[in-house]
Amino acid sequence: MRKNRFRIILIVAAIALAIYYLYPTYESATYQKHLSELSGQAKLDAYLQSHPLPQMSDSLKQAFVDSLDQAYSADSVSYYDANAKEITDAKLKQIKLGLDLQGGMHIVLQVNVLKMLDAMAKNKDQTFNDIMKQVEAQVKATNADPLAVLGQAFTQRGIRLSRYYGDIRDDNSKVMSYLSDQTKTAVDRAMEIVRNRVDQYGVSEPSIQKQGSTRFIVELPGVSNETEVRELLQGTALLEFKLLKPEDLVVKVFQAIDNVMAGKADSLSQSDTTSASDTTMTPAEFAKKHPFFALVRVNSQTGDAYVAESQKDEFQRTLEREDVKRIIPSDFEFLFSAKPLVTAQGEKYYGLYVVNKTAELTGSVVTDAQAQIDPTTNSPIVTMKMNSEGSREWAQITGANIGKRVAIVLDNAVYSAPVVRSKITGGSSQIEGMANMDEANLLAIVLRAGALPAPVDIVEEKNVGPSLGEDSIRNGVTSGIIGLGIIILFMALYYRTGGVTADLALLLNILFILGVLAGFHATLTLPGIAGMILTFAVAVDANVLIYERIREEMTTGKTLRASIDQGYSKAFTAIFDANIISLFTGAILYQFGTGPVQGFALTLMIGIVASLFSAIVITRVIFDIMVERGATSINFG
Amino acid sequence: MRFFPRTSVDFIGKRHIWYTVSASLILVGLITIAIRGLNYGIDFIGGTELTLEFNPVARISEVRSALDKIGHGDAEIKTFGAANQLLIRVKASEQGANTDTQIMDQLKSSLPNTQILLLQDNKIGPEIGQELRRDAVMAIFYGLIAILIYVTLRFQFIYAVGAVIALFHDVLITLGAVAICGWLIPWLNLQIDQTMVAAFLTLVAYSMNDTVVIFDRIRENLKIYKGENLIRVMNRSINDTLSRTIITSGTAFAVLLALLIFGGEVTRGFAFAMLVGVVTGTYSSIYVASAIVVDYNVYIKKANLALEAKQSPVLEIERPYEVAAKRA
Repeated sequence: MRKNRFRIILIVAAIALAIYYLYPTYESATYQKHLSELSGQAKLDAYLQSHPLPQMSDSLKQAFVDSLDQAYSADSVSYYDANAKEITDAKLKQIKLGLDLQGGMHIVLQVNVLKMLDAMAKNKDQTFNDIMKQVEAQVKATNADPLAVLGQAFTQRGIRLSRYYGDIRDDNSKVMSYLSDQTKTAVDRAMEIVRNRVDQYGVSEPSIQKQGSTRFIVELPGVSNETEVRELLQGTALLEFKLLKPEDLVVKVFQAIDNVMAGKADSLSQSDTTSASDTTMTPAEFAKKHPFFALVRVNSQTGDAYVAESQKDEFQRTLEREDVKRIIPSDFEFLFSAKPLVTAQGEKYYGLYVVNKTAELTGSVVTDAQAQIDPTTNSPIVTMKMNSEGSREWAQITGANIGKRVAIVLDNAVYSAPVVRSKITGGSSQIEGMANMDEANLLAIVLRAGALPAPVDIVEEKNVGPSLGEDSIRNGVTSGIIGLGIIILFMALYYRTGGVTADLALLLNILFILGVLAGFHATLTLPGIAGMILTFAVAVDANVLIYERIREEMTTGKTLRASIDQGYSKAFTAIFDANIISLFTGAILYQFGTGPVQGFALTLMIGIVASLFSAIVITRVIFDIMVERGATSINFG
Repeated sequence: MRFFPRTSVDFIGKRHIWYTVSASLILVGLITIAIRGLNYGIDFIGGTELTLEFNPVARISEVRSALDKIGHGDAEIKTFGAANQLLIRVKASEQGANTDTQIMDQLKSSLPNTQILLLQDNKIGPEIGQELRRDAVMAIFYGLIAILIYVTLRFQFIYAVGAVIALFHDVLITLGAVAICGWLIPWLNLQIDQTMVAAFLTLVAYSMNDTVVIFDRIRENLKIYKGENLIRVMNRSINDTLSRTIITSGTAFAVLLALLIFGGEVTRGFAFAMLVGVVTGTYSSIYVASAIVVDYNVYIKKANLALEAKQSPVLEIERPYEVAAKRA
């Protein structure tokens, strides 16, 4: 018993861990089911079924159905708002389904260096256009590096690069290194622009990954509107500098909104400040009395406002309310920070900025931005340079707004809101206050993104409609269950007690595979399901090898215990060698494959390890326990 | 229950017949590929592939004439699963051209009374296709190298050679089967795409798995029956493991058959290739991998005998020649 104690602990721990990781998946499915029950559609269908509509015009009918729909879906919206955190949490931890299963778009974008070089040039003339045409043709024919070809073309014609790029006094090598820098960082700029927009577009769990030096992959689950997505990914980025509204005014507006929402008189004059008595209220009471301040947390010391990630939707809906709209001044604009603040408890809060609707300046005047370490304070800073026209305006703006904050806004997301210290003349500004170098780098990327183009081409696009995804899941599950059924039945019939034990191990094996997938946030794809089905066969093979050996040993007249011992130890080398090779193959597939194939390789690898554990360790422990309990014969068929 | 009591089939003795069978099967496959070519998926050649659902059912000829108007009359159009679902494939076009939207717009205007639903839309630039093709070849190449090294380490070099030749055999036969069945049974929708490459690597792994189990038994039996004739040890080992071989291949076959029939369009090609692979993988472990090891040993033995027979005269002829060379 003692030698098995460790194994039993291991098995129990593995099962517990798998269940722990799979629980959110179960939870999430329950929430989804509940939500869809609450949502209008089911009730609407039921209502229409039982209440046939009287004769009326189509438009009237539509209006009637719409109003019913809205009334019914209110339940699901309020349920979602009440449990938003739990629902998003469970969703985040559940087994991720690949795009082929849940539907969505997979897009590979590539920075178009040629287009970028063309767009970066200034004072373009006929000569330049001719050179570009020649470069384009050459790049297409030879697949060479566009920048190198461009450099060559300029030297051939004896024209200095500085005629079109950089400063007129720069020599060719300096311009080349500047251009090469810009092409190398172009993919980062393009990625940040896309990430920012995708975040705002409201896709749940988007994934954006760099692939090689000029490409990146964007995956948008559940999205199917191609035209919209294309615009989202390929449009030019808009960088703006917007002045923040004065704090006292913002707080007044917040209080007015709060009063309206709480049902009090909607006047700006009545200011019921959140006084000391409020702190003794329970959250529910507080939310009832101050619905707006339950959504928007205002830091009383800094005046900064935050909205929890799970409440962003609710906040947006609040702003859309007619009665709320009426009291918001027309030049007010509410913007969120691009990146959330994460609390110690792992909750995400987005900064809320209230800014002037009209931008003071757009990013097209920015010529460069660099993240640096300030040598005197040793803290990260970003230096930003503007062209002469921009510098003039910037001096005016900063001069008139000393002490106020200017938000740096890229495509409607605020990346930073520094305070203007003094009038900035000469076009070179310094931005401080970044927590670390990463943050500074990001800001520099954003500032350049507004100024320097990073045109991208879509080189690959896969779009799976949601109905096909549902079909695929159903097909995968059906064939999996049939395959599993065949194996379980066969094993039980052929190897009797041994077979039933192997079946148990196989079922645990499935639990382990799913648990590992959930635990590692891996993605389950349709080929992944195929890989799992194949794993069933491989898992059973280990037991077949062992049982055939045990049968052989038993025919030579050995005792049950000796036969089991021999069977397991003799079959082991074959099982080990065979599975190591499968594992190699899986690793190679994972390395070279993309998307769905990687999903397949991953489940195959996890499956091999899990099946070795369940087929060798678990079945062995079960037999050992049987023998220890006094079994003199176990039926191996 | 027991399917195979104790067998003592002379597998190895009949290997030369099966060499011929294998060679002819591979040849038929290769000829088909040479004539018909392989049907590559758009992953590898680039292009646009749309899967659409038409309500009510649209005829392929209707769809084709609609596409002809925008210059895609040569598109490949076939049913995909249900009768009202069509797969439209257009070969690689200029990058950035929105072929898919053009097709959708054209179909919507040509078939105004039909509801068209987009099920799937894949677009791959020719450049990417080239890269994926290279990656696929590299994956299979590295896979084979890894296997060669591992088997050499665990067994002997000649075993590794036998195993790798068996793998080539399996891949070639399956490739031929894909070409022939893709041509004769369009329902299977067979095409060489990334999933198919995954299937090939998996069948390589499966075939290896099977071969290694037999090799493992040979390794063990060679220790037990020292000095016995290799052919007899091999036959004994194959017979020893026969029961396991049949049961494992049988279950794998059943499971893959379920996947082929119920798994839907996307995994059908994968299931088909694997089904063929399970059969050839099991067969090749015996008649290719083990048989080559036997034939190599037979050849070595014959060569040794011949060498012994020839050795003395060879040396005598050489010696006077060397002496003459030295004098010169």
